[in-house]
This record gives sequence, structure tokens and C-alpha cells, in this order.
Amino acid sequence: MTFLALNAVSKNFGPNTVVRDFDLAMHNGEFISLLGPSGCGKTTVLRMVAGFETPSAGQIEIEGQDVTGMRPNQRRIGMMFQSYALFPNLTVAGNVAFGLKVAGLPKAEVAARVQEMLDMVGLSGLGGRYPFQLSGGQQQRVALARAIAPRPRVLLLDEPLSALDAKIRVSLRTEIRAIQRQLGITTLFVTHDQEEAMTMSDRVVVMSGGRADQVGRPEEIYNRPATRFVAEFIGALNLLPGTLRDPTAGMVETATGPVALARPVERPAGAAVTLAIRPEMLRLLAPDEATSGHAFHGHLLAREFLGPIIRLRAQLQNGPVFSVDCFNRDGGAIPEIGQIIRLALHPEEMVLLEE
Amino acid sequence: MVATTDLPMNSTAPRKGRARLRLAWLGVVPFLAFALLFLLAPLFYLVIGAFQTPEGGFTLANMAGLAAPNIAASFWLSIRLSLASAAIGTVTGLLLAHALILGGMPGWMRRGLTAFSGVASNFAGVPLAFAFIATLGRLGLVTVLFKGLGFDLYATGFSLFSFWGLALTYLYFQMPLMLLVITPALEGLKPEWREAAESLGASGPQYWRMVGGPVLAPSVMGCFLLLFANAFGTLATVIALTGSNFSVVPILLFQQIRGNVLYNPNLGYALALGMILIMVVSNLLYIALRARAERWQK
Amino acid sequence: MMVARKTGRRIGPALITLAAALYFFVPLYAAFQFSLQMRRGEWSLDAYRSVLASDVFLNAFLFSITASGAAILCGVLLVVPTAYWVRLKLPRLRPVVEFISLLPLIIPSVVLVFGQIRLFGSNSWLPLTTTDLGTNLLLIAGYVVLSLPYMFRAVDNGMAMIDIATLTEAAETLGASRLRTIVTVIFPNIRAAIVSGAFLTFSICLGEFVIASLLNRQAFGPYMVQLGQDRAYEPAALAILSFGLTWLLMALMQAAAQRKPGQGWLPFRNKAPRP
Ligand SMILES: Nc1ncnc2c1ncn2[C@@H]1O[C@H](COP(=O)(O)OP(=O)(O)OP(=O)(O)O)[C@@H](O)[C@H]1O
Ligand SMILES: [Mg+2]
Repeated sequence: MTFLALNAVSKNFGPNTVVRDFDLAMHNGEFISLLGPSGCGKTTVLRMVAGFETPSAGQIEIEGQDVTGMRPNQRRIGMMFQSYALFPNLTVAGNVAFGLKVAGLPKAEVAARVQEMLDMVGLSGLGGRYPFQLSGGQQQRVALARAIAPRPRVLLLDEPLSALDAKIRVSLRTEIRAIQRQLGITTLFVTHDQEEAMTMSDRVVVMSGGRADQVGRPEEIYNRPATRFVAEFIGALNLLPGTLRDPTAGMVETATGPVALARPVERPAGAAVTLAIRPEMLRLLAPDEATSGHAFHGHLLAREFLGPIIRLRAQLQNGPVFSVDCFNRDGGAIPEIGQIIRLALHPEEMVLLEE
Repeated sequence: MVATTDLPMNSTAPRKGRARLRLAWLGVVPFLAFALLFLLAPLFYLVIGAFQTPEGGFTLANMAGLAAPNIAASFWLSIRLSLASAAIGTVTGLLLAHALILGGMPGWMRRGLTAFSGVASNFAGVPLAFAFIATLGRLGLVTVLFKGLGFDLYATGFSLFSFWGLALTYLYFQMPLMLLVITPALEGLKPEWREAAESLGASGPQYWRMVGGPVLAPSVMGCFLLLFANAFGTLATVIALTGSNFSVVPILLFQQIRGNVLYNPNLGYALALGMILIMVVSNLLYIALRARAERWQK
Repeated sequence: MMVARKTGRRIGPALITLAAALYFFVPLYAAFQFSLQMRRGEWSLDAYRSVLASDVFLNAFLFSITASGAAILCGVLLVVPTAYWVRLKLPRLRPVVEFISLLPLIIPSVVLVFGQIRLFGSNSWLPLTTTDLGTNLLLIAGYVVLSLPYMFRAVDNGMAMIDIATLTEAAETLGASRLRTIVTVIFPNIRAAIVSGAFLTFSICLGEFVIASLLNRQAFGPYMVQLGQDRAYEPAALAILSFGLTWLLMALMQAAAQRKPGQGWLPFRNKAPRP
């Protein structure tokens, strides 16, 4: 059943349309990330769900109830901000208790719930501290505890991790996800960090220019990008332009020679197409090794050591420069710069992008 | 050999450092000398004088003289006027700042009133009195206008040259001053706090009571004190409005320096010390309150 | 519903803003109208003419301008090196200097001048008040003290904005002497702050009444009070003139404070391209 629904929501600021025709249906307990470049409207979508912005068109429903015109303090929504936004005049316990006090819960119940929340985020002993006495990571934990304490229907997080340093970012995202699972809160998470979106989410919404380009599970988004924007935005990508020769056989003519997709393509013959290939899908062939898939020919331009993987830059014959990822343990087998190489690829791992 | 050359080296290094520190002190000597000569010494002179007889002996009679009915009444009047003026200035200035900064007023309006406030807060003294005489004096524009509408302002007991008239006049520089000094604090209220509170279910008043108010409190108190001091020392406006008929403490002291009214010159020192004491006490009060209100800050 | 709430929230602020604007405007308008009524039955600028044509006015005004100018000069020479030095070498002394600088905000000027008059009176160790020159010096000293909070704030803020310590270190690693650092690096960067402090000082001292009156100086402030007792329409004209002058000074101060490096002092002499 749909728990949170955005139906054809649009938002204009004066003449600028920053969100257009945005549709999203979230299940109860689902964790969805909004991913996209800066300024694409992620925050605006979130703020419309929270009630801080009013949609110019469309409708927002929570549990089947139309909340489009409802005031933020009536919506029962928890929110986490990039800047923590803890109340500086209240202690940690005071911050967590805020929503409970406002709701008029009895004192004893407030105290018990505050304790429970602080235990949950691992800050049991720090209830008496003021925000300025906490590290960034601790402050964000308090913010999480504060947001979930009143048992909100929906949890909204606007880049809550981007002000933290790398280590804490990784550990906190695991924690947030674990707590979210435990409580089963429907969660909308805004980020521009694809790794964050991929690792945390049930589904990811990739946005550009105020529109949802693709909605899907992380693997779908990564392996089967629906648009060129999604493909280019997520992960590294090699692009090979060409012309469709034979739609039924999936033959594409490119600058480096013909490439067989080995599947029918629903486009007319002669159409301009682009083949997208992830660097890790290419495999470096040993000098005398044969391959059943397609093989690109070229020579090695450069190599970058990235730790677990080594990224090669290969100049294809008559074609573009490709990135190729090898595992570090294959390091000994990597040829010298300038040497001729061959790159193998299974045809089904090539994605044909629509223009 | 090595040891003997090392020793003096080691002992001169810190000495050199100390000498340099002493030299560094020379850089502030002109300022400190000036402050001592024209600010601190005069104050000190008054404080000593307040406890001396004209012949130079120690006495508490001057300070006791402050309890004389007319002088005590002056102090009481000054304090009441300053409190009233600071309170009105604080409240109206805060309201105006809130309206301009958080109320969604267009930018030009905000810039215009802020620029005006820069002028008005410096437009104290004599010309201000003149402008108010032209407005609310017996023949002032507003007085005459009201009379034309059948409302005799002065028949209600109001007079520009009375307590509330002065308070209203002071407001002309107090409210802009408040606007200017409280603006940074209001701008320091993060919109996220408001939004966080709202998303947690708080209403506007609840937000102000639990978060906005407490966060602003120290700044507001500081501004109130500034306005109080500002009103307490105001003299030129009072003289230009009332001659010397309205006996706030500064006027009393002014006349004493001019050599009339009081028979004992050392009573003047006591008057001055009384004014200083009020400032000291209100500052201490402010510091104590501020420490309480600011326990959540660094 | 949301829309209604938003506009509903704007009516209150709009009313407050309007009331404040009215309160600010009416006295100015009243003074202006009053100042035009000197000639019976018609509007005229007679009051302004009468003020501006008077020798007493001119002398008092010139005297005050001179005294304010001298106070600015002394204030700058006193505050700028001190603020710089304290930031650079004696940060521990900062609270002391700051406290002293802000003291005149709290101590009423009448108290201050009282102490000065007695300390430097006729039978004291340094009888400044017995000679004209001495009294003028005392007046200027009083003005410097009075404007100390404003001058110090302006200059110190200016220095805080450009991170004086790092700039000085940068200049010194490039081989500049201390004097050269101050003249070519520090001063140009805080010039705007100094100018804004100067205009503030000017606007405070020009119409100052208490100190000038108690030192028996024929300055602008005492002149205005006297005029207020003797005349009816001229004071209103003076109020308008004063307000205009204050406005001009504040505008100049703003312009000085917002001036970008490389920008000329006059709009049409801009060298830097506009952003
Ligand atoms: N209140 C507003 N008034 C006018 N324009 C706005 C307002 N809020 C946002 N915008 C504009 O809407 C667009 C989308 O903004 P939004 O904050 O939603 O982007 P975002 O995807 O969250 O970006 P980022 O990753 O940088 O946070 C931006 O171009 C922004 O300038
Ligand atoms: Mg954003």
C-alpha cells in the first residue's frame, strides 16, 4: 500500500520552475534517496513534504490523507538538517524532549522516551550537555533522536551527513539505516553522494532539473540507467557513439569498428546511438587469450592506482579513450604504458542510451 | 668549554624574550596614558572627592546628602525615565526589527529603515528637541491637528515637557538604536530552528517561548542596558526641551557645575559618583543575568 | 489555506513597519513645515536665511567643525596603532583596551567633563582651563573620549575582517619591514573602517552640547540651545539642517565602509570592474 505519495507535484519560485511533475509513491517503512546534482530541486521536494513550501501544483498524501495544505506542525513529520539545527539553549535531553513536551506528554513518559532515544543513538550519558559541547557526529545523533522521538510518520533527512568527516559519515549512515529499519519509519533521504544513496536505500530517485529521471533499486539505476543523464551521473562511464546498422541483430557501426549487441534494438536502422560501458565491465586480455565476446583494440595511455583497483586509460584504435578497472591483485599482469592491449566485453553488459 | 658557552646562551634567550615583551608594552603606552589622563583619572578624582570635605578630610556626609528629598527624587525620576524609555525602546525596536527581518518585508523597506536608523540614532541632542517641539509642542503640528479634530492633547494632562513627553522624544533615538544593535542577533536566529520546531509540532508562540526567546534573551538584555545608559546620560535633549526645569540627575549635576543651586561643591562629586554607581550596578546586574541566560554558550 | 496564512503573517509586520515609519517621518515633516512659516501667511525660507546669514552661527559652526576635525585626527592617531598593536602583539591586553574604549558609552558625558574640569581646573597640577588653548585642548580630549567607543569599534572590526595577524606575517615573509607593512598593507585595507569611524565621530561632536557648554566654548551645540530659547522658527530650520547634515555624514560613512579595494572615492572614477 502507498504510504506517502507525491502526485504530479510542481513548484515555481517566481518564473523559475524548480520541481516539475514529480511523482513518487513510497511504501510503509521504505527508505528512498533523492539523488542529483546541486540545484536540481531535492531540498525543495523534501521541504514540500515537510510543509515548509507549498506546491504550486499537485498533491501530497500521507496515509491516504491529503496534507498538501496542512501546516508543518500538524503533519507529524521528523526532519534532520545538514546543519544539525539543534536548539542551542536546550541540553541534549531538552532537545530530544522538545517534540514530546509540545505534544503534551506527561513528564515521566517524556523522561523515559528521552532515555530510550539517547540509548538508541548511543549517547546515554550525554543528556545534560549543551550542543556546543558535542562533536558534529554527536550533534547529528541528537538531531536524529530528536526527530524520531515523537514517533513521526515520515522521516525527512536533508544531507544530514555532508557536514561530517568521511569516517563518521560512513559509520553514521549505517546506524541511521539500522535505526530506520528497527523502527520501520518511512524515510526520504536527500543526498548528492551516490555512494550514500546506493548503500542506504531501498530505492533511489535520480533527479535532474526538477524532474525524476529514474526511480529504481540501486542495482537497476546502476546497471540499467534509463537516461544518458542517469548513466553519466552515477559511476564512471565510457561512451562510444555510433550508428545502428542492423536493428534485429543489434549491430552498431562505431569509429573503432562494428560492435554486436547480440540483441534486437527497437530503433530504425541508421539511428545515432551511444553505447555506455562501465570501466569494471571491461577485462584486459592476456596477449594470446581468446574471447567469446567483443574485443576492443588499443594501447595503454596511463594507469592510476586507486587502492583496491587500478584504473587504466586506454586509447582505442581510431576511437575514444576508455577507462578500464582491474583489481589490484592483477597488478603484475598489467602491461607497460604504450603497449598494445585488448579489452574484452560481454555484449549484454553494454547499455544502449537513448539520446 | 662547550658547557660554558652553552650556559649564557640559554639564560639570555628568555631574557631577550622578556625584554621584547616589555618593549611590546610600549606600543600601548600612548593609549593607556591618554585614557588614564582624560578618562580614568577624572573619574577617580570624582570618586575620591565624594568622600572628602572641602578641606580635604574624610567624610560620608556628601554621600549621605544624596538622601536629601530633592536629590533622591531626582535620582528616582532619572531611573524611572531611563527605565521607561529603555523598555519602550527595546520593545518597539524589537518589534520593528522582527517585522523587518523575519516578517518578510521587501528588501528596500528594510534597507531604507536601517539606513534611517543609522541617522536617527545619531540625531540626538538639541535638533531632536526642536523637531519634537514643532510636532508636539503647544503649537506643534500634531497638537494643532488633534485640536482641529476636537481632541485637546494638553487637556489630557500630556505635555511634551513632562515625563512621557520626554520618553516619547527619547524614543526617536532609542528605537533606531535598538533596531541597529539587535539586528545581528535576530539574523543569528537560524531558520532551521524554527523549521525543526515546527516539524516537531510546535506552534509559533511555542517556538518563541522555548527556543527563540531564550536564544535572544542575552542580546536583548544587553541592548536594554545600552538604551538605559543612553537615556540616563541624556542631557542636551532635556535642556533644549525644558530649559533646566526638569530635574533629572544630569541636569542637577550640570547646574551644580555651573555653580548654582547647591551650596556644597563636594556634593557634586557625590552626585557624579551616584550616577557612576547606578551604571556599575546595572552593569553587574546585566552580567549576572547574562551569565544565567548564556550558560549554553561557550 | 497556506496562502492565507502567509499573507496573514504579513499584515502584522506591515502595520508595525508603517507605524514606525510614520513616527520617524512626522517630526521631520513638522519641523520642516514649521521652519517655512516665519513670514506670516505664506511659505518662505526666511528662517534658513536668518540662520545662515548670522555671524554667530557661522563662527560657532566653524569652531565645531575645527574641534571635530581635531578630535578625529587625535582619535585616529590614538586608536589605530593601539588596535593594531594589541591584535598583533598583546592579545592578552585586548579585554582591557576594549573595556576602556567602551567605558564612555556607560559613563554620562556630564560626569566625565565634571571630572576633567576639576582635575585640570585653575588650581590643579595642570591648569588647562585657565587658558583658551588649554580649554580647547580639553574640549578635543573630551571629544576623543566621547567618540572612543565608536572609533575603536569601527577600526577593530575593520581589522578583524582582514585578519591583520596573517596579513602582517605574509608581508614580513615577503621581506617587508614593519613600517612598510603598516603603510602599504595594513593601512589601505582598514582605510574604509577608519573613514567610517571618522564620520561617526564627526556626527557626534558637531552638535555636542554638554562638554562645550561646561567649558564655555562658543560651539554649535550651545549656540543651538541659545537659539532655541530666543527664537521660534529658526530652531526648526536648524533641526532640518542638522538632520540633513547627519544624513549626509552617515551616507558618506556607508559609502566609505562599502567601498571595495581598487574602487575610486568617487563613483565616476572607478577603476575596478563592477562584479
Ligand atoms: N526560496 C527560494 N526562492 C527562490 N528560489 C529558490 C528557493 N529555494 C530554492 N530555490 C531554487 O530552486 C532550485 C532548487 O533548489 P534546491 O535547494 O531544491 O536544490 P538542491 O537539489 O537541494 O541543491 P543542493 O544539492 O545544492 O542542496 C535552485 O536553483 C534554487 O536556487
Ligand atoms: Mg539542498
